[in-house]
Amino acid sequence: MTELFAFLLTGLTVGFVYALVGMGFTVIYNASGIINFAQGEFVMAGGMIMVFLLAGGIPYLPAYLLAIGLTALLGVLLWKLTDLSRDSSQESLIILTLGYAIFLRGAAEVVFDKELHTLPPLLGEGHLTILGATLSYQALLVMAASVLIVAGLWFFFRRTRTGKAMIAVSLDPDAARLMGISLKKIWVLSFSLAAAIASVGGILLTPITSTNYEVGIMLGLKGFAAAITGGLSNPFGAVAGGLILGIMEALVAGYLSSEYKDAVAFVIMLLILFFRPGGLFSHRGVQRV
Amino acid sequence: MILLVENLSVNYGRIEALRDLSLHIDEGEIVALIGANGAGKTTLLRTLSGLVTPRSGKIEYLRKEITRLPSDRRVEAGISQVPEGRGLFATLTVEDNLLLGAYTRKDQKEIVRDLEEVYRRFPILKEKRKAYAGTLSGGQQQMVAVGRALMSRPKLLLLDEPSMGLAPVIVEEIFETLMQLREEGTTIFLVEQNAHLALDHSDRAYVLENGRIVQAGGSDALRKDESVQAAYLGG
Repeated sequence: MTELFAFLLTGLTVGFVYALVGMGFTVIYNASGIINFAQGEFVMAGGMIMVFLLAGGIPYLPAYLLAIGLTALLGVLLWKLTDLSRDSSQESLIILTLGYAIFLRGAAEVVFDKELHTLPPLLGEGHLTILGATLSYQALLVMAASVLIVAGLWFFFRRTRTGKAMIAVSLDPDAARLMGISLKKIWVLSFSLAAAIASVGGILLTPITSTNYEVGIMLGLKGFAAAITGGLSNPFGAVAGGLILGIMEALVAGYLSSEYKDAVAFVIMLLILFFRPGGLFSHRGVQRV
Repeated sequence: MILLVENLSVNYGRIEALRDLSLHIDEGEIVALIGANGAGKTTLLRTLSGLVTPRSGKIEYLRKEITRLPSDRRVEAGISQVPEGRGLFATLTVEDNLLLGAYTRKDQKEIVRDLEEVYRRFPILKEKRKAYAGTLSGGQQQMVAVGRALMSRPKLLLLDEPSMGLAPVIVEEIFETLMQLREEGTTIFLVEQNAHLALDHSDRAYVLENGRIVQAGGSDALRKDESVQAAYLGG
């Protein structure tokens, strides 16, 4: 029982990070129809920038904000690149994001290094014991921050003018333009928002799993699987998708073998694509494809 | 003159959708544009709203050139469109749809007042204000589309086939609203496939065929014109 509970906690922690990455996929996809395969690199960038800002002697809080801000800028830069080639097909733009991912990885290798890095946990090394299972403060922080971000986004999409404008753009871009909504502003916002969310995930996860220039590959793919599982057009579906993948992964790693851990997300994703291509939570029929 | 279009040409790839098109609309008028399916009516409205960039030609609004002005700036300047097929945001509520119509405005108090005004015009929308727009009947959806366009306080209202797919009673109601709007000073450019309806409710009209204006004149005169009767009024 304790064992199961421990696995669930581990799964939830990682699952929340997948959820954050997955939400980034859906936010950009909804606004622009682009699947951004550099999403994982934003997670990496958040963590790596944070590591090197701290190493450079910048205090925790400013470093935190700076790391999020800089990653958001990397998101805006990606938007700019897609905008420069806006006459290209959707497929070309997706390949462009793959190129950008490779570029970011290379840049991280050159600007920073190839070593594995970690960060001191924000709330210290302590942990809670729940039903015999331990949960580190940092893992708790990952969960709390993710819940806050999800709640914040929910509020943003349901209650604010700009959030509703983003939904309008995802439902009918032409009609949205007729309302006087600037697609360009919505795109810039969605790319920077997706990057910022991912960077928070990267910064919070680093004390737990460590980071280096290529952690983004796997995190990006898992986030993508989370988004597909929940439904690519639904940010909150991606949260559920991320949590499901995280938990399944932890259970497989715990009860079978950690060798199979990474396969879990992709098996689930493939099953979803075969049997419910709209994702688990596509009931409202808001589909772009 | 509120709108002046001069020698406008629009291409979709290699297909010529509009060719050397010129027209004008005076303030306070209702001007109709009639033509068959595929004549280029929707393309013209999309170009006027800035969704399509013309290959050549000029659009002037209130004596200022707007040919390359982004769509959001045009809405801000007072050009609002009720698009073909209504273009509602189906999974947002009626009220959210209406409020998005006021997206370019900042005067919160006036927006609330205008929302009440739309509800006064279309009382059923007040009842349905929390319903998802996609769940409404066709007629109610058209009311949302018109109400939403009014929320930007347009000086020039463009309507693309407002009668399409609606029962005659509802069409009557929508067109009555348009007549009221004109009384209140809104200029209206009405694109319709239903030529009877369009000519009955307009001061002047243009006839569009294969992307070119082939006839223009007072709506009464056009209604009596033999070639218009033969082609658009069923003999």
